[in-house]
Amino acid sequence: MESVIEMAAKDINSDELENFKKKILKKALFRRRASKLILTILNLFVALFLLLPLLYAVSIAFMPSNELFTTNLNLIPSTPTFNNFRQAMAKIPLKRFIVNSFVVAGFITMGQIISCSLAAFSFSFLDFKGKNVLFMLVMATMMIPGEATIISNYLTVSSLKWLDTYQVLIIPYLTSAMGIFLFRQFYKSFPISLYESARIDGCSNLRFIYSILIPLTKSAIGAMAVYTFINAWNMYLWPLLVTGSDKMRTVQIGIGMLDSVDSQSISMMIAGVVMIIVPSISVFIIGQKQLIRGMFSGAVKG
Amino acid sequence: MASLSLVNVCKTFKNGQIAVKDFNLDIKDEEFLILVGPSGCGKSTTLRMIAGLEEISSGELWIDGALMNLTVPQKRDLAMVFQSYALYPHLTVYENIAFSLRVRNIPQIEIEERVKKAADILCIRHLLDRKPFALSGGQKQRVAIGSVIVRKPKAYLMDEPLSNLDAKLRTQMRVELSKIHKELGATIIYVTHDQVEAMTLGTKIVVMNAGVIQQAAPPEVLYNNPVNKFVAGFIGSPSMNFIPVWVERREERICIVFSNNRLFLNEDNAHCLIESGYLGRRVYLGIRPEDFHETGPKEQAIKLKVEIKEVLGSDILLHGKIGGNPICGRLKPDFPSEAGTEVSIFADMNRILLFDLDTEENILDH
Amino acid sequence: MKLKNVSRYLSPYVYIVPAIAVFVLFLFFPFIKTIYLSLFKTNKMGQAKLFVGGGNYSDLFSSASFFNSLFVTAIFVLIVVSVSMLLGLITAILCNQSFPGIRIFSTAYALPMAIASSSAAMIFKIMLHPTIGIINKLLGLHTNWISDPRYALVCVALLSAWLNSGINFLYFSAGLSNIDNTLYERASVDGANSAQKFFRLTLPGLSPIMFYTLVVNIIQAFQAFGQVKVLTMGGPGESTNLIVYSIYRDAFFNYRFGSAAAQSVILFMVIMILTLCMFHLEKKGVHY
Repeated sequence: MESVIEMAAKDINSDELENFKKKILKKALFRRRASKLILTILNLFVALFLLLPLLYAVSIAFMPSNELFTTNLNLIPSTPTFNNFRQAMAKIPLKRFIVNSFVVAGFITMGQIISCSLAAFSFSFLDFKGKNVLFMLVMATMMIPGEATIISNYLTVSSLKWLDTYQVLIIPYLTSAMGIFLFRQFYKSFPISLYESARIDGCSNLRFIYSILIPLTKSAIGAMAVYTFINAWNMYLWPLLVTGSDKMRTVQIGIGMLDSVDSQSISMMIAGVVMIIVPSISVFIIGQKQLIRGMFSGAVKG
Repeated sequence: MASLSLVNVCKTFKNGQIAVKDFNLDIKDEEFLILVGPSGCGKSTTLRMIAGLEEISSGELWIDGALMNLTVPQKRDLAMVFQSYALYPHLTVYENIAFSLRVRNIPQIEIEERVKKAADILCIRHLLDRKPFALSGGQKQRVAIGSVIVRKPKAYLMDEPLSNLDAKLRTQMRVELSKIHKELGATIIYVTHDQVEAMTLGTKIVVMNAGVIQQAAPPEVLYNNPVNKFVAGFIGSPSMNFIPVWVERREERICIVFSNNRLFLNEDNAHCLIESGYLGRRVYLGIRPEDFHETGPKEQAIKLKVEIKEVLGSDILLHGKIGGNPICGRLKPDFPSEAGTEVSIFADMNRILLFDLDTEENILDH
Repeated sequence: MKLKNVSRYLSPYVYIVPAIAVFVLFLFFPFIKTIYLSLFKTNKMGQAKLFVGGGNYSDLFSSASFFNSLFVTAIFVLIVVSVSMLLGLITAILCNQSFPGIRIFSTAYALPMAIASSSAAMIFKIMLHPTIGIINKLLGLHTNWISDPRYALVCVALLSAWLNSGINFLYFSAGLSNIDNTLYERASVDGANSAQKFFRLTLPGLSPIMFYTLVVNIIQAFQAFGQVKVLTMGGPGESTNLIVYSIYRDAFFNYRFGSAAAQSVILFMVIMILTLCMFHLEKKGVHY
């Protein structure tokens, strides 16, 4: 049998054939590389567009305020300065706000992880009366938007004389239906025999959670921690209602003190904003992998 | 249908691993070509390179006289059945089969006709309204085949299409695939690791190992005259027995000697060995289990201590060891033998093969 | 012996007590209290004083301001959900194929989810500043975006869409990676071009996660508050007086807790009905 090449070679001489092959391959290779390049450029463009607010904020934060007030396009500060940050720190007790936010977000994160994993453990490994009803009840809370309860909550905590304290910022957020759901989803992937054999080996419930479940669900805990911390750090309406003094304000509320129409303080205000965005963004970037692995590995499957 | 040529095709993965090396093959029109080999031998990679799903690192792929190396898959006019079937989960069986026609904007009337025809060939007409999740493995398999036979592509590519089926269904589908091949007069390139599938389906079989073609030949040639020890061992079940033996001259005849056994070679083979200078050297004796007989001349007898006896019904398999080499013989069920006893079985000296100890190549070229 | 039995019987409950206690105290109880309050006129301390039955509700439904608030919220939700889902989808698709630097880009696309609505609003305030804002400078305009009732709502909505696009990117990326790659391989051998693969494979393959994302986005959009408070204070006029902001203003500026509670109940009903409708539609429509 003749090969195709031999057949082709009969019509044209071998040099021509070689050239022809080279030409085709070159063209196709170029097309493939070009599509990759276009994709990268497109991504660069979209990413720049989406990050514009952040990049712009960083740029302004380093810009002396006299540079800000021109009609020219001033994207990058020509004489970068830390002055705005210094001024912002001097004008408001930003350090205190940051400490407050860390305390509040930290306790909320820890509290949610503990309460959610305990509840999810009970819902997935233990048997008790009313288990299904209680679980449905927990899931039903996802339907109630926080705003539908905020007035009554405010009235309750103010009658308890809890206003302007740490506990009022922390306690209402010590659990979350989503967290319970996420953990239960993870626990469901473990066979019940895992629990049973631990019990037969004489392992107590708490010990089982501590030494078996927690190490096995590290990715869920990581995801939960990142997500909860960021949300707690960014909380706005509730702290706005229940904090009044500089001593208790969280960053999101405290930064509002820099928000004034006085045009001199614009760069100072943005410097403050940049300072309070840095922690949540850092947590996000560090924990992004965990977040994606934990939240999307088992929970959301089509 | 079309003919394909692969010239010096190589595939090197990004991590430097060489999957396919210097693959040269011409595939004729209407050929049922099987790529077979152990897992990781590069057979699937070769198929995927033909389909355009894997880039060809070097070499050329020609389909009907056109160089296709960097042509995108959708322009190659091929059809492929995947190992996992790759049915579109959101489409009904009908739409799954019609998909390749729909993307070509073929008129609805013709789609209807061709889908029905394909469904009839595969007996899945009653399933057309179902979604893939409601199908059994065998049904999914038929749908996957149905969705390639609605088209008349240049060639059908099949990547281990039967490997997810149970043994009974596999046998049944094998027969049907053969039928389809004849009915459509199609060029089929079929990848499998199962040598039985390869032998029963293929008009030509390419045995691969470690990315290199070992032998490309029709099934009976592979069976009777394998080029090397690898092919000989890979084709046939249970696989061929190999024993290292000495080639010696005794009583003016050439014989092979191993642990108290002595077998005299036939004239042709003896001549062949002397010609190529193997006298006094060690070689591998290769003999298939089915080439042992219950009776024969004394000089062909081998003593085997039976360790395990497997009863297959039509035959029995006797397993034992000779000089530390596992030996298996396939004999008639009435052959008197029990585990633990020693029996004499007779080797068919016209059917034996000999392989070089180092190169493992076939010494006797029939 | 008996004590041991009791403790064994009770222990499953012990593990759920912390969670349930918080839910009861700060969710169920206040939720019921909100419904209760919505039936009363209250004093400045928020104590129920005069039972008015559906009075607060009928007041609301005859108030142009409330209808405006509902209308504005509806438009807001529409813009936020469509733009943020579109942004999430586009970015997820852009990051679906591998290319150099993909990790940096995917972090960039998800980043807005880490930013607080109030902080973002402050940045947008400067970007939209009529004289020094970068938007006007880039576009060569002198528009006063935030003080113009025509643009204010759109600005707040786009800000919210930007904030939500981050998590949508993650949802859609997860959805895309759930689509079996061999389906794309089969489609290309079957002869489908990129557009056909997108419309016949990618979009249907994303439909389950698309639905989930839609529900989450709608609920989220209804609850927008920080951006309104910082950027527009509900103005100009009442053009950005979203429902949650309206609740906030009624309760904590006008001290009309009863009316605010009634609005909260209506907000809850709207969200619940929308969610139930969508689940109902999902059962009929997207499934595989």
